[in-house]
Amino acid sequence: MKRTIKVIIFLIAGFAAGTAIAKLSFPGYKHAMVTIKKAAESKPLYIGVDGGRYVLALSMKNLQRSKDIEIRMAGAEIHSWYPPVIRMPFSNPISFEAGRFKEVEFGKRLPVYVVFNDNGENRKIEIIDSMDGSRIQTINVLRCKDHEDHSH
Amino acid sequence: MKTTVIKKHLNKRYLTILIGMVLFLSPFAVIPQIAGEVNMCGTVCPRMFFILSPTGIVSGIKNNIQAMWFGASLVGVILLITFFMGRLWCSHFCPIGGTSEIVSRFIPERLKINLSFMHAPSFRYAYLFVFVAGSLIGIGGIACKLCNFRVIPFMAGSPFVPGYRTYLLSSAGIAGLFTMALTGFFAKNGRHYCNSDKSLPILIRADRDIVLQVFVDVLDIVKSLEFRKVSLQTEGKR
Repeated sequence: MKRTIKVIIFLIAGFAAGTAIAKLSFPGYKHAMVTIKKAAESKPLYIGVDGGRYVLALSMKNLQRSKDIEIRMAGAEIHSWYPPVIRMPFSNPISFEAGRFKEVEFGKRLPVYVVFNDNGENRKIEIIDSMDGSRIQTINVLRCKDHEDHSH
Repeated sequence: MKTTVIKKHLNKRYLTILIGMVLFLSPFAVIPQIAGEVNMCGTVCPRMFFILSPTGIVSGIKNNIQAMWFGASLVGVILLITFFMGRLWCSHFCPIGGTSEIVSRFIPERLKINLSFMHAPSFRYAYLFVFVAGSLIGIGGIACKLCNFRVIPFMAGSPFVPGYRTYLLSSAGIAGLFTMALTGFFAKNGRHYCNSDKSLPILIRADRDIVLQVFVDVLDIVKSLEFRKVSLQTEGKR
């Protein structure tokens, strides 16, 4: 009987912990998925009214042909996980420096962190073809009160 | 004599754990680079492919396995190893559990938390249910939140890559570090979210290890029904 009660209690606790974490949102941090398509009309990204340092974590899927892509936002730093710290001889990784990715294959997902000081203004992320300097896409970053998950 | 044998075994186990860390974690990340990645996210992610999608279960799994093919294959290999050799992967190779255990060894015992009061399997399976089906039933997705397969590789890469530091210093990263500290570094034996010794409880296994642990638990139940072959598998090699 005691064991049964313990099992039930921890079943409820596990379910509650899972639900709490599923509903968790983090102030000053937002994750969104973005599709990079030439001249596509992008839905805006909404960030909360938090103020201070903001990290916008983007998972950007490349669905256009250019392999050299630059990500820009005025007043922001652009970070990524690439390139690998020590490149293995068999790998042909994406290179990244100062917001520019090179050798990005079609369909590849790019991890991008856009870090800025949230001063209450709406912003724009520009995606540029580094080969010819043309704009691939613009994504508006707008403020909203609630932390909603907006994925593209 | 017994102490020497135990010490020899521990040394061998830590050596294989270190090999696992070199293969999977920065700065080398040999295995992720085979899949065109640099850490255990993306194609290498071993935990997200079995999340049920609200847009369609079968199509969702198919798309997930396609996107995370390397992670799904890795889980398949680990399941095979576990079937034949017990918890060999967890105890001897896993870079995530292994790193936590090694770091925990440097923390004084008096600072550690003992979570053995928990009934780990109940907690674990309830959490797993939410992890797998949360999006489908409208609770929401756990996915990458507080993921130890993100936190540990990012910690390993943070001295070299600014992007990792960006994440770890964000609110999401700090929450992940806190979870890692609570359930790993400052937990008794360093592995409250996984175990290499069946007597230890498991706090949270919201990662691909839950798939393994479900599998091993099934074997353990069968073993208790006196199937000898299964009992040999679940003893495993430590």
